[in-house]
Amino acid sequence: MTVAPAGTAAEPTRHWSRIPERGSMLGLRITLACYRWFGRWVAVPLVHAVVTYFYATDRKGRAASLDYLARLRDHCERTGGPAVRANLWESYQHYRAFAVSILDRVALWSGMDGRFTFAFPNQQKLEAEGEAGRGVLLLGAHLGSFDALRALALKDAVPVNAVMYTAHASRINRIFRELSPDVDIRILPVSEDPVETVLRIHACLRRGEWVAILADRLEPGESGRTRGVSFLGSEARVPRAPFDLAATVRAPVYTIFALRDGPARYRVVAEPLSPPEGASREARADAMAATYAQRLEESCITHRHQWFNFYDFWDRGADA
Amino acid sequence: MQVMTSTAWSQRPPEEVLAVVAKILEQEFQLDASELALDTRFSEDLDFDSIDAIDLAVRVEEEVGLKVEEERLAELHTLGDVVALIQAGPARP
Repeated sequence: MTVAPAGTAAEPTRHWSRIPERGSMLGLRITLACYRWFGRWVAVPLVHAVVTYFYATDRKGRAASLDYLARLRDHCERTGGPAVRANLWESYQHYRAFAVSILDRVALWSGMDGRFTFAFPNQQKLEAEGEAGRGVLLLGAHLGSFDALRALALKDAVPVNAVMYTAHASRINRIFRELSPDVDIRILPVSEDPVETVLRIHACLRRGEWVAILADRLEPGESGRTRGVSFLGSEARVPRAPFDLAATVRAPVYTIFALRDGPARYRVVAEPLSPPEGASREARADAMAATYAQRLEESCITHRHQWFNFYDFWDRGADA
Repeated sequence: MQVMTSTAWSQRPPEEVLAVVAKILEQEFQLDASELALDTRFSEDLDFDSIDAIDLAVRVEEEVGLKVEEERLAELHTLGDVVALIQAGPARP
C-alpha cells in the first residue's frame, strides 16, 4: 500500500524525486474497496494500521517530520502562535494525516467525491475570473490535498491543468489513470525541456484555462534556479520558475491550499497574489514568493499535520 | 506607445522596428539598447530563458499589438527574428 510519505527512506543527500515510493498497488486497491463497500469508518483505521508500520521503519522520514514540527514549535513560540509539540506522538499524527490524504486522494479520483464536503469561500471570485475569460495561475503546495482542489474544479467543469512531475509518482498515477481514465488530459507533465513546459503553461493561460503548480518543491535539476524565502524562521529555497512566471504573465495569480477540516471535509483557501505595482520583474517575483511562504506558514500553524514534505525541506544542498 | 497596424509595421525599416524592441528590452531587462543588434542572440548573447521569452512576448503584445503564439515564440533565436515577426504581422490561418 502506498502510504509512506514521498521523501522518506532517503539518504541524506538525495533529492526528493529520487526517493522511491514504498508499498504495493494491491494494498491500495484493497483499502479503496473497503472504502467503497464499507465506508470511511473501515478504510481509515486500515490506513492507520498500515502507516504505523511505515512510521516504525522509516527513520529518515521520522527525522524530517520531527524537524518540521520543531521548527513550527519554535516559530510559534517566537511569534506568539499556538503551542506545538514536537514529539513522536505528534510526528506519528503527521504520518497518519498523510495516509488519510492519500486515501482521500484515491477516493476522490474513484468518483466518490460526493462523499466529501467542500467549503470554498473565494470560489465566486475565482469563477468570475474564469467567466471573464481570464486564465488563472494557481500556486499550491504539498499541503493538505491538491486533489481535493482538482475534484472540485472538475465537478464544476472548470478547466484546470495541474503541472506535475509525473515520473516521481508513476505507480500511484497508474492507479489514478485506471480510476479516472481522462485524468491525464488535464495533467501538464513537467517536460525534459523547460522551455516547452513554460510555453505550454502560457498557452493554457491564454486560452482562459486555470493552471495549478505546486510551487514549494524543487524539481530535479532546479537546484541552481531557486529563490530564497523565509519559512518558519529559516531560509528555505523554492523554485524560481513559478514565481518568475507569476510575475510575468498578465493573468491573475492566486495561492490555493485545500485543507482538511474534518473527516471527508475540506476547505479551499484561495487568495489573490498580487505583485507590487511598478516594480521590476525580479522584485515582483521576490515579493510574490515571500507572500506565498508567509501563507504557507499560516496554514502550517492552523493545520500542522498537513504539511507533506517528508524530507529535509530546508537543506537545499540535497539536490545532488 | 501607440499601437500601429501590422501594415504600418511592415513598411518600417528593420532598424526602426529594432529600436522599438530594444527599448522594450532596455525597460524590462535593463539591457543597454545601444549594444543590441539584429544578430543579437537570445540564448548565447542575452542569456534568455523561457520565462524571459514569455516576458518579451507579453511586452511586444502590449507595445506593438502583435500576439506572439507560443509555437512561433520557440522559433525566435535573434532580435532579427523578432523584428521580422513584427514586420510580418499576425500569422495567417
